[in-house]
Amino acid sequence: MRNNTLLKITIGILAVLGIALATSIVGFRELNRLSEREANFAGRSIENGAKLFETNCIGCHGVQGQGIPGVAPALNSANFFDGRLQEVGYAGTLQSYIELTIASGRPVGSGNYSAVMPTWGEEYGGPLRPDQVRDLADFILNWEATAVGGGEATPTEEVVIDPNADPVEIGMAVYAANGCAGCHGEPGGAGIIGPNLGGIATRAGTEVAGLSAEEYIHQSIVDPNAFIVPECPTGPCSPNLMPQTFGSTLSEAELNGLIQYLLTLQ
Amino acid sequence: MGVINNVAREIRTEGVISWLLRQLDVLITKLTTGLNWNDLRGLARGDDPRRPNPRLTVHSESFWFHIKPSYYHQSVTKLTHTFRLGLLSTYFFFIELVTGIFLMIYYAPTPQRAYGDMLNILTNVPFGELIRDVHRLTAEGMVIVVFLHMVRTFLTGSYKKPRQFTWLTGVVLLLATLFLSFSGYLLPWDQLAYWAVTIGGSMIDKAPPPVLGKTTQLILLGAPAIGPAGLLRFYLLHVLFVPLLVIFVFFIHYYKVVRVGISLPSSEEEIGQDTAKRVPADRRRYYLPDVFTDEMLLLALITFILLALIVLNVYPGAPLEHHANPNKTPLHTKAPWYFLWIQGLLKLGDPTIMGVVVPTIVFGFLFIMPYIDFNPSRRAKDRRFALSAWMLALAVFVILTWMGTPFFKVASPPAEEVVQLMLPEEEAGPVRETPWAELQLGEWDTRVDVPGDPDSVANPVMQGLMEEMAQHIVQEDVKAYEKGLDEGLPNGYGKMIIEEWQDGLKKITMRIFWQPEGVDEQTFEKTFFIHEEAGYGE
Repeated sequence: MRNNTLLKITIGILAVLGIALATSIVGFRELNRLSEREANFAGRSIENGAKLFETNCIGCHGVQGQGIPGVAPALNSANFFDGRLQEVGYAGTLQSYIELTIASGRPVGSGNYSAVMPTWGEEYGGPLRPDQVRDLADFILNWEATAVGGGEATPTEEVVIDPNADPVEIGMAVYAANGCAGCHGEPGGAGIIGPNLGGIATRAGTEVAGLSAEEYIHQSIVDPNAFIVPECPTGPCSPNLMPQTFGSTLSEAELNGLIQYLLTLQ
Repeated sequence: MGVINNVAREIRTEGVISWLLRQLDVLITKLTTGLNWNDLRGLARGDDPRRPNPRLTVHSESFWFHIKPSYYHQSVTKLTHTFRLGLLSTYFFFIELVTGIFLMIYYAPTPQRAYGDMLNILTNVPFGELIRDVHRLTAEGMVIVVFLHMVRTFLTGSYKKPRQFTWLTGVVLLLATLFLSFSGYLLPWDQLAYWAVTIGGSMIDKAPPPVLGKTTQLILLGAPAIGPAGLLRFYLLHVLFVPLLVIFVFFIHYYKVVRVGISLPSSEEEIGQDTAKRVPADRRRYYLPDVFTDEMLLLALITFILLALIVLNVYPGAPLEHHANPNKTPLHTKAPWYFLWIQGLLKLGDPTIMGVVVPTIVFGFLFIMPYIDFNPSRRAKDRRFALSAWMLALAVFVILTWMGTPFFKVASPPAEEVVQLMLPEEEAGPVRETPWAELQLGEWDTRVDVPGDPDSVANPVMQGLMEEMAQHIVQEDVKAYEKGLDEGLPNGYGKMIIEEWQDGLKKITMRIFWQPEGVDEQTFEKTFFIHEEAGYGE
């Protein structure tokens, strides 16, 4: 009996020492573990943000966040990380600025950008939960390394349009270079925030009485507010969504090419 | 003044040191409610007690020891008689209380905060992950231990007269344990939690008649679907109501155990007799020190084993999936393993019958079993029917549990399954387990990038992945026909496109192609982003 009890007490003491040892091992690793886990979840947040960006944002801000001229600003540019807060006079951090803008949107398009930023946060009636807004902000902030320098900038191709080429080819290049697909989608696919232009050649002649197809398309590009079609993919179309500046930014040849190209979309 | 004079006189006659030691001994005797220093040493050495036995005073004077009997029958203190599973259940519940309180410090039960609080516990609270892992592992351990406790009681026939009510309270404790575990499932507010509890909630909804089901669900969730109200209610049930119920019922349960005594091995008494409380003096085994030592040894060992399982990563740690997303149903919603048998039942037929009526009958039968079992004998040879029925029930339980897993009758499209196997939504999977830097940019094809193909430009790692993907495509094709799906993956192949997307971020597009007879080629595509630091594979 006596030896038995002593043996049990010894094993018990060893087990308690084992518990102390196990806890010490955890304690010893704990600081490293915490920072490792922090990096893990920061990484996963960026992954989530990338996915959300792809589903919700590329229509206006471009697949790689390069923005679409006249529609929505670039988010992967040096200026976005270095100058934006001063430009708008925002006193908080860039992260809070991004989260705020995503959640509450931009009620009016500012000078350079015509598109309205919708309210994405669920607290303002949008579809995204606060954690998703944070994930998106983490993803956007992750462009900093490549935007500010050091890393390789996201390549955005400089498009050179040959004025002597076939007008339809010029038009296709203009369509691509000006980010038309950002809102209208690829012709024949689905529109994103603007109406899809598949079949525009057929519709154009009958939309507005007194305008030929060519005249109607011309008017829609240079003066988009003159006539607003009723139905857009996200609900009724609203004025001022399409840039009002194409009349001055496109050359005669480019404008003509674009019209010729659109007229081929039967 | 008299007291001080007395003390002074005592010190003069005894000397300071022996006076101090004597005072210390008085203090020890008070703390132990009756044992002085020499008695304690005697306990540890296994000496016989002095007379009158001071160890019995402890049982009458100390609150915690008065709950325990002062002696047991020798035959019931053997580890193999009860395996001390009741003690273990109680101890696991105690661990849950302590670790649970620590977790409560860092947790708020609202959808806005819950998931972020979990992240905070994992990334910012020292020992937070350990406490959470212990809480989770112990919770699952408690389900096992409580279940085994019930099995032991059944096999030794200890639920029979006079212990029927002890059994009944035990079934209440089993249900409470299951509910505690399940309600804890929801609290992290991740995908796993949200969808498991959504299934559970919709089962309650099916309880007949519809008015009862709907009302119960509404009371439990506070809304037709799980949301802020449901989270708060599950939280309060988890941390307050059910633990209180457990404590309340536990004391009834344990009082009955002590009052009636632990049943002797059936061979040691006549059929129909119960002599557990009449312990002959020479068969007594005293709680102090023998049983107490055994119990403490067991608890220390179990605690050590729990911690070792976690520290050595044998237990992979409590999972935390993506934030709960009501708009995104996971490909496989998994019930916790101890409810897989119900999920298996649900696949067999009508949810009302299989999900509500059958489990109610099962637990209802457990409640009344001791009252309808009129066989007085606890000996195995007299209980052939009961033991055979038990074996059968166990077999059914195991089969149903297997049927509850996605391996049985889950008809998701095979292409989706292949992608899920390569790159699961929540776990690591072969692609994420590949070191990030070795995910070579480019477009990879299962038809080209297999080992030994001279056309392939892939490195061995990418070739390995493609080979694995090709195998999954073949296997899922076969499985689809086995499961009777309309379409497998005939002529199937897969592609994986890896692009550099951002600093430390790669975009992975998985495409599966297949071409049934006389139809155009079909495609399934899914994109993923993998960050260098995400650390799923570790």
